[in-house]
Amino acid sequence: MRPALILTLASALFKSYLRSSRRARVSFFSKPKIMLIIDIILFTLPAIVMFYAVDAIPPEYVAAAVNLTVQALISLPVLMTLATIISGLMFELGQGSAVSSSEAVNWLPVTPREYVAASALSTSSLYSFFLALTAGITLPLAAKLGLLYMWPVTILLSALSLLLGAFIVEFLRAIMNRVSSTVYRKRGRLAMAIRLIALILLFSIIQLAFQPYVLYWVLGQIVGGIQLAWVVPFVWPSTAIISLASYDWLKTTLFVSLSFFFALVAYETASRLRRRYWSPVPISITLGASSEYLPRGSTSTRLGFNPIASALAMKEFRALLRRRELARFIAIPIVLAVSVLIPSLTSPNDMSGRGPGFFIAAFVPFLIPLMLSSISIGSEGNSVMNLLGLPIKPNDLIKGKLAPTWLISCLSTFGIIAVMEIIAPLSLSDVLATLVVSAMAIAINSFIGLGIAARWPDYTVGSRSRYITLKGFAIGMILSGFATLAVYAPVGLHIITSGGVRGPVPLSSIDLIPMLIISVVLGSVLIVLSHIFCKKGIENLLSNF
Amino acid sequence: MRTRTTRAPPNRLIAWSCQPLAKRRQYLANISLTGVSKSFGTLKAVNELSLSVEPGEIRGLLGPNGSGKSTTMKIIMGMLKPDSGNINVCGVDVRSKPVEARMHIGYVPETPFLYEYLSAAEYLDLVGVAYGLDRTERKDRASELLKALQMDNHINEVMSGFSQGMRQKIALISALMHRPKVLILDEPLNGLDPRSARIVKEILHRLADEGVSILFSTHVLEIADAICNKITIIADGSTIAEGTSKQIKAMSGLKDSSLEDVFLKLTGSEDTAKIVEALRL
Repeated sequence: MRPALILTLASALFKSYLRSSRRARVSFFSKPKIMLIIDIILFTLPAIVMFYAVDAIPPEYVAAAVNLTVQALISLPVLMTLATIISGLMFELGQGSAVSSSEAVNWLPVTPREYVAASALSTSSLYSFFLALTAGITLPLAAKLGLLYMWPVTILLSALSLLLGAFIVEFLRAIMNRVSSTVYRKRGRLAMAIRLIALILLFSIIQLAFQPYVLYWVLGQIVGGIQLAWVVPFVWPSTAIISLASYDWLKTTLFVSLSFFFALVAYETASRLRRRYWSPVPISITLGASSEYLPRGSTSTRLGFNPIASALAMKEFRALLRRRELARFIAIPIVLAVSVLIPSLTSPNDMSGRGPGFFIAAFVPFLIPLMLSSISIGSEGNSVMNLLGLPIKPNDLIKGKLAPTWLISCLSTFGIIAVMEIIAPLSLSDVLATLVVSAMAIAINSFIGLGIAARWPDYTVGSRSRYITLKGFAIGMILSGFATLAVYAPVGLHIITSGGVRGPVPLSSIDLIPMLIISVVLGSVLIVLSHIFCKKGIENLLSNF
Repeated sequence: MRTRTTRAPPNRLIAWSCQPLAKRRQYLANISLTGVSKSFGTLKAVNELSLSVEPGEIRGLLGPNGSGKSTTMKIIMGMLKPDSGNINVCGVDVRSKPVEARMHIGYVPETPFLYEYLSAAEYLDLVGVAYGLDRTERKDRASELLKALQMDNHINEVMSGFSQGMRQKIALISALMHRPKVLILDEPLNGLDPRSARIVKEILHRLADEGVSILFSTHVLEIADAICNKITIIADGSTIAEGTSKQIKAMSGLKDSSLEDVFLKLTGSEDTAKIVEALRL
């Protein structure tokens, strides 16, 4: 183990991630030292604010504040692990097999242990702002509410949990290489489908396995009455803090030691897997035995697509199904939808009426079209030249790029509404209204997504690629968030005021029809605006080529 | 520049003298492959390949697309595990100690995916640290190589803005940083301007004179003919010809022809005129 190499490699990976939205220059904000200063500011500012804010807590609420702070300190380590894994799934694992097999680190004299340590260090550094912020908020609370003895242990264990999450991301990276290698040069579409399903299942299972709710539910079913904390290593840091809160020094020492031990085990496992699947073989897919080229007619030409838009749509579908790095973009919405549904499925009696179902249904037309369309330009990588060199009109490019997004989004929305109908049924008219607003939201969010994809693409198909710059991603989330809210709010208001939520509502029941009309009018206006936004972006992209 | 002996170090020499003749060549060679095979599913990418490159030798590895050249090089680098066979680099068994073996090798892959968002300086620093060079060595070595390949003006630029040729130069510089005993170069002159290509060729000759073993793959047969002391032609993962350019020409019965004609005859792709005729251009 060479500490200097680990730090240099961690710094290289960290810079690669930070700079992916800035081209061909080293900017002020792309230096790790500046990020450290940002972390310090994120710690200091909330600490100062909270220092004075704590004094303002009325004496009768101090006991509640103490309770709340203890709860926050206990939850912090688990949240750190969870946040790193979610972010890891979204951004860290997006690497094509061609890049994974040709990445510089593969041929440098770097041991698997050194690589895993460096990569985990870089991943955890990326999310260190979260730790700095929470540390800044909790320090004055802990100091003034007599919990200062808990704070250093909590921060230490939270940092360890952050690192643990990063080790798990490394573990996943190696497993993904394994999945890719397994289907190397397998013949036929079935092998390809199996690979895609395997990757999606892998993402989903790991994601769900680290959801505390799911974890407790599953283990609760298995082990029943015994103390769950003993069998869930991810909560050992939190268990140590619980023990510390009750001054149980023996248990605290035991769980702190176990937490460190578990982090070491995770590191060692990730290193061993990395050694075994060091450099994956780039995927080579053979679809059939025939060597004859047989041009085929596309079914989408019958749906009003001209041949070039239709060919482009098919290319997009194939990319989504065949490119390993794009599998996560199909998996993430599924995982998020399932995580939202799990509490409802496991304890349907807790559902507070029809409202939550409606809002869960709104979540899919918001996220899926935005995510899929926003990566559709950047994911072309260098081959965007081939695309933009074609004699293609903006509208054909929009149709071709968005066809897979529309299909996947519509199927997912229909699926989630159907599931929610089983758990918390809406009336037929409400279901139809939900379908109408969902269709409008899909159109709006896909146009916004493609609009930002054309304006802020990230063509890096390599290590830690995202296909959309951070700025573009943030603008897309804000625009789509407001648009989705505007379209769903009127119908949502009807559902809430007509018994959609448990308990009293300060408004009398509002009829569906006028609210649906408002939603449709707002939706129509937003479709036109978002289409203009999208078309302008695509026109600029084509004209600047 | 540091001088290098072409003779095996004493400990290797003692071991060598105690071995039978066949084994002795393995000890002398910086790169030694014996009966290496690698399959991907039903495809046999490398088939019972044996190859040895001695100190000071520039060996050209030629073959049609998909013949197994890059796979062979990745196996030597320890990036791919062979199904069978032995690989030895500077006396280090690559299968059991790939990292130790890489310390002796400078490698330029066919398509180098460098860390796009690092500047050239940052990337070379990472490479230098990985090879255990100290700060002064890293600075001096990178500076002289960057200057030689006219990259010194781009040292602080992020590599995502680099052309293919510029990336290739950085890959070459990183391969030469630690003064390796072995160079594995997969199409190293791709994208280089004529001046840089000439400099690289001169560097390779100089390194060979100093005892560095170079395994060099290219599709430009004139370059192979001009640079390499020995040539190995492979097809379907197996060696079909080996020797000096002269020996291979004589062996194929085309003594006075170009290496291109010999290559096309040996790899069974002589019917190029008929193929173009059939294209109805």
